[in-house]
Amino acid sequence: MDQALMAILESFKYPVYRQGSLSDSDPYPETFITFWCNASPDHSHYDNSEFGTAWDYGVYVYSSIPERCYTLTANVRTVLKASGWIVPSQGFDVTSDEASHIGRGLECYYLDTPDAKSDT
Amino acid sequence: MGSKGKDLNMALSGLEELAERLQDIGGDLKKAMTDVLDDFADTIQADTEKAMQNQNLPAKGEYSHGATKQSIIHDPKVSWQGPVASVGVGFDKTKPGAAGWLITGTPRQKPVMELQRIFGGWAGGRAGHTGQNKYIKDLAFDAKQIMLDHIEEAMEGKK
Repeated sequence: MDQALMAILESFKYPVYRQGSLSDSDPYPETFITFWCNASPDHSHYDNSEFGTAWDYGVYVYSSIPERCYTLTANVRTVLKASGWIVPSQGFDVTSDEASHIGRGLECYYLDTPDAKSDT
Repeated sequence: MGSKGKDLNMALSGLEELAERLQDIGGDLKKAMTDVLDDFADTIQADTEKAMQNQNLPAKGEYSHGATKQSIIHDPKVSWQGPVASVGVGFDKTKPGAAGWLITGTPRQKPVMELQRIFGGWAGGRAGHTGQNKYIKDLAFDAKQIMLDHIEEAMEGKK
C-alpha cells in the first residue's frame, strides 16, 4: 500500500518522504509531503481467515508558503478520496521542525478487500 | 465539545442497544454513561502516563518529564450539555509541550508508536470507519461491560 500511496502523493511533483526520515542536517525543501503507516489491521475475519486490510496512514504537508500548504493539503485530500481513500476531515495543524515552515496533517484510510480489488 | 483534550465520542457500536435496554427497564442512563466515560478517562490517563515513561521516547526521554508530561490531563470531569456527555482526555492543548508532535512525528522525528496506538485514528472513528483505532474498540468492550452491570443492577432493583 505504501507504493500506491506514494504514487498518488508523487503525482503532485513535490518531494515525498516517510515521516521522520530527514536527518537533522537535511534542509527542508520549500514544499514537501510525508507519510506514516499508523496501522494495518485485518478488516474482518471469515472462516478463521482474514478478509482484507484496513490501512491507516497519516499524510502530512509542509511548506514555507502557508497558502500553498493549505491548498496542497486540500488537493491531496481530493485526489485520495477520488482514488478510493477515506479522508474524514479537512486536516489539522502539525508541528514543523523548522520555524520557516508550517504543516498540515490528514488521517487517511483505505479498505483493501477482495471486493475493492474487483471493482477496480 | 469545549474540553481541552480530545473529546471522546460515544457513538460506539453496540452501546446504543444497551443504552435503550437500560432505559426500557428504568435504569439510570446518565449515571451509566458517566461511569463509562470516567472509566475511559482513567484508562487513557494511565496508558498515556505509561507511554510517557517510556525511555525510548526521542531526545533520550527528555519529554518523559517537564511541560509535556505536565500537560497530561488528570482526573477530568465528565460534563453534560443536554443529552451529550463529554470528557477531555489525553494532553491539555492549552498548555505548552511536545505532545502533538510525539503523536504525529515530524519530518525529522518518527512518531512515538505507543502514543500513536492510543491517539491515532480518532478521526476515522468519528467518521464511522471500520478501521477505527483498535485501542478505542477495546475501550468500547469495557464500556459494554459497564452498561451490562448497570442493566443487571436495574433488574435486581426491580425484583
